[in-house]
Order: sequence, then structure tokens, then C-alpha cells
Amino acid sequence: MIKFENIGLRYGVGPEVLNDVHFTLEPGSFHFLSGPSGAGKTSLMRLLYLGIRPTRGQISMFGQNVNDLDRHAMSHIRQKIGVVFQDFRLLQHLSTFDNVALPLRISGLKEKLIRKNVEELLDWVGLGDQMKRLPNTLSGGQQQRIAIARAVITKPRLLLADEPTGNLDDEIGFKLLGMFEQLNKGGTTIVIATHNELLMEKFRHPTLVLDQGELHIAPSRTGPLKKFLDGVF
Amino acid sequence: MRKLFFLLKRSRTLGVSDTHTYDIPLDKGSGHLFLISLIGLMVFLAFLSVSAAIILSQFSRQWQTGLEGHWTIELPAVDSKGNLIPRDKLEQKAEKITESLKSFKPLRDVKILPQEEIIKLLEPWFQVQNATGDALDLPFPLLISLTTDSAPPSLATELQTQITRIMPEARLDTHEEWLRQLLKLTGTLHLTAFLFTVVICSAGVVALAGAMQSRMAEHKDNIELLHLIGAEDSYITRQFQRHAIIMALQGAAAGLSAAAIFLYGLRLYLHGQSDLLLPVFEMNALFWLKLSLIPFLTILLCGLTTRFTVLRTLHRML
Repeated sequence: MIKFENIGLRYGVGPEVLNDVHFTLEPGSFHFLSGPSGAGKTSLMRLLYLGIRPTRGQISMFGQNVNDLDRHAMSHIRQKIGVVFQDFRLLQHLSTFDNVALPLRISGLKEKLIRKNVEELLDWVGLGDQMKRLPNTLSGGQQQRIAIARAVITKPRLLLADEPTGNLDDEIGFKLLGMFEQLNKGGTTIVIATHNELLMEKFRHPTLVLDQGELHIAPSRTGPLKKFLDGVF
Repeated sequence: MRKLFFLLKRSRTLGVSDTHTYDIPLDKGSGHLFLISLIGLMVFLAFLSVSAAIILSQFSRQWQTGLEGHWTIELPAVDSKGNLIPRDKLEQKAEKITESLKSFKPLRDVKILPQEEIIKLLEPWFQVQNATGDALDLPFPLLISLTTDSAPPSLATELQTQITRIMPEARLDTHEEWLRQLLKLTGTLHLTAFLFTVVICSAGVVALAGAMQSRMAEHKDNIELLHLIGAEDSYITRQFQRHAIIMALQGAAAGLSAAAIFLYGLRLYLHGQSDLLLPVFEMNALFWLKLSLIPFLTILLCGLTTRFTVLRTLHRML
């Protein structure tokens, strides 16, 4: 379970980017995170993948209070989180294979098993024949698939994706969401930050809506709350 | 050793993993060659400094063993009033002293040095070769060489008393004072060499720490990414450490080669300079064994400096 209690966040002496954010993500849940530009989506994602610490409030993840964790324990929690960054953040000097293998190497898996797992996953995302290629020799869509493969290779307990369909056409975007749903069925908690209305309409999952630093939760993009959410955008 | 092997092992054995040397591209970039050159230069200077210390030890040992048990009696060619003593009279005195010393048991050998030998000993000071006493036209003293087996502490005093009885101007030289000064000098030079090595090492440590910090700043995004994927500080540190050790190996090899060439050249040069009053230094197995500690120490120092610097900087990061 992931729990945010009265989270406030500000950068330096600036205004609060997130204000009293309070929510709980049950294990195996699937949420979209939406909101207008500048609403604080990326900041919330950064808090979720432990890239920053909140200014105030308490975050607990997988039964541990994140505020009290030392560096060693923090690394262990991060190993349970898969992240697809908006700009992919691939290591440009490493091949497709090595980029995807990275989380497994960090977790100390044997090379033989790494090879087996990575090859299987790259086949699954359709990059089985691109294993030796460097990221900058691949298209944006292919790079995105590497980023996704890297995020899911360890079968994380929490998967965070920041605009994962941004570079993809709708058809591939839907396929990708289908892939995330498969993972979700396996018990992975998923949070996807997106602006894609169509995607949220098609895949009916609860949405965390951020507006001016405050969070509202809508059960799905259909039903009685649709009007409220439409009003936000 | 196993740890070192692990650190150096590259994950290139699987075919598909052709690019995986470091997760952070440490071996790519302009500073890489500079750092290897810097380590090479430090190793070269450390080699010279340590070699100098070893060679000085050899020299002082050779001087000590050369003089141990060898004393000299000097019969000056002029008396206390500055008048020249005739050569035949000087020779008679020398004969008399030699005869009188034969009764001293600890003396193994007593002999008057021929004039040619004395001139030969003095040649380096006169910068003249194959000279004769006449040609130099100088009042040479007469020297009596004594060899002792194990001299009791009182022997020198007893000998001096005996010599003075025959010729008051004659003086026994046990070389103690000269040797003491020489050992003091070599001791000072040893200390200087040691301090010089410490300064070199300190400069190397500071330069390497600075270079590692700038590398970390250069690759801040990649380091942050590794942290976010779950890498512990030790995982990231190992990458920097492996990089530093490989650079230290390359630098040490370059420094060692340059120093070896320099030392062989110096030895050849000194061999050809017989008038330098310096004994020839030995570059035997022990000499190289002592020097071979430098690459190991360099690797150790580079590894520890990098580890300490990277861990400290990571603690200030995310």
C-alpha cells in the first residue's frame, strides 16, 4: 500500500507546488494521474519514485515510512518501483540490451538469468532484433519501448509512467496500455500520468486529478464525476 | 586479489552486452587521458624518489663496508713549524711506525702505501690522470694502511699513543668522523626523498579526488538515474573505483617504463664517469622488488581515494 498524508512540496523558497495531498493506492490498483500543465503532476511522480522528499507530510510505501529510511533502505524500496520517464532517460552509451538489463544488474542477478529475462522481454516489446543497437540509433517509439522494458524488467510492485504514450500514435498507445493492464493483473500497482483523454476514456480506471497543487480522486472518466473532471480541463 | 579481479572483470562475455563496460560512461571523455598521464607522471616521480633513497642506501652501505676495519695513519710531509720533512726521513719514520705496530694483536695487516697509490687516490681532486708526484710537484704525505679484525674500543687510543712517540705530527684516522658526517648526509637525503614521495602522493590524491568530483558532476544525471533505479552508493562507487584502478594500472605502467629507461640511462652514464667518486649502484632483483611496491601502492591509493571521494559526494546527492 502507498499512502500520502498531508503532503506539501515547495522548491526552495517558492510557492507550494503540492498542497495537502492526501491519497492511498491499494496494492494492484491502476490509476491515471491527470491535470493541466503546471498542476504538479511531475512533482507528484517524483515524490512517488522517491526522487525528492516532501517539504511536509508523511509518505509510506510497502509498509515503511519513507521519511525515516536510510540510504540503504531507500535503495531497496526504489528497486520495487519501475519508472518510465517522460524523456526516457536512457543511457546513450549502452545498447538496448544493457539499458534493459541495468535494473537486474543493480539487483545483483546472475548474467545468465539477466540474458534470459532481457531477451524474453525485448522480444515481447518487439525489440528482439535491436538488442545491440544504441538508443540514439532508434526511433522515439522504440526508445520509449526500451524505457518501458527497463521499468518492468524487475516485475516492480509499483509502476509509474510519465506520459508514456506521448511519442506514440493512438493504436500503439492502446497496445502499450494493454501491456500495462497485463502487468496490473499480475499485482503491480500502476500510476500513469497522462494528458491523453482518449486513453482515459478507453481504459476506465480511477483518475487522480491535480489542479493548482490540490488532488482530487475520480473513480473513472465516466459517470457522475465526469462533468466535474471535464470542468477542471 | 579476488576482489581486484572482480573489479576489473568486464561484462563483455555474453555477446549481446558489447557496450557494457560501465553504467556511467567514465572511459569516454576528454579527462580520461589527462588523468592517466597525471598518474603516470606521479608514478615516475615517485619511482625516482624511491630509487634515489635505495641508491643512497646502497652507497652508504658500500662506503661503510669499504671503510670498516680500514684505518689510515697519515705522516705529514711538513712538520708543525711548516718545514718540509725530507722524503727519506719520512720513509724511515714510516718504517719505524710499521715495525712498532706489528706487536698489536688486533691488527691483521700494516703496510705503507706506495706513492703511486696515494697519487691515484688523489687524482679525482686534481682532475689529472696518470700523474706522478714530481709532475704534480707537491709535498705528498705518507700513508700507512691498517687492517683490523675486531678492534677493541681502546685500540685507537693505544695506537695514537704509540705513533706519537715515534712522530708527534703523525695522525691516526679511523674515518669515524667522516663516516658519521656521510651517514648524516645520506640520512638527510633519505628523509628528503621520503618527504618528496609524500608530497607527490598527496598531490596525486588531491588531483584524483578533484578529477573524480568533476566526473561526478559531469555524469550527475546518470548517477541520479542509477539511484532512482535502486542502485546503492556502493554499486556506483564500484564503477568509479574500477575506473580509477584501471587508470592507475595504465599510469603505473607508463611511469614504470619511463623510470626504468631513465634509471638504466643514469647507470650507464655513471659507469662511464670514473672520476665522480660514486660507487656504481646495483639494479638487482631486490632493487626492482622494492620499486614494484610503487604500482601496488598507486593502485591502492587511487582505489581508496576514489572510494572515499565518491561515497562522500554521493551522500550529498539524492
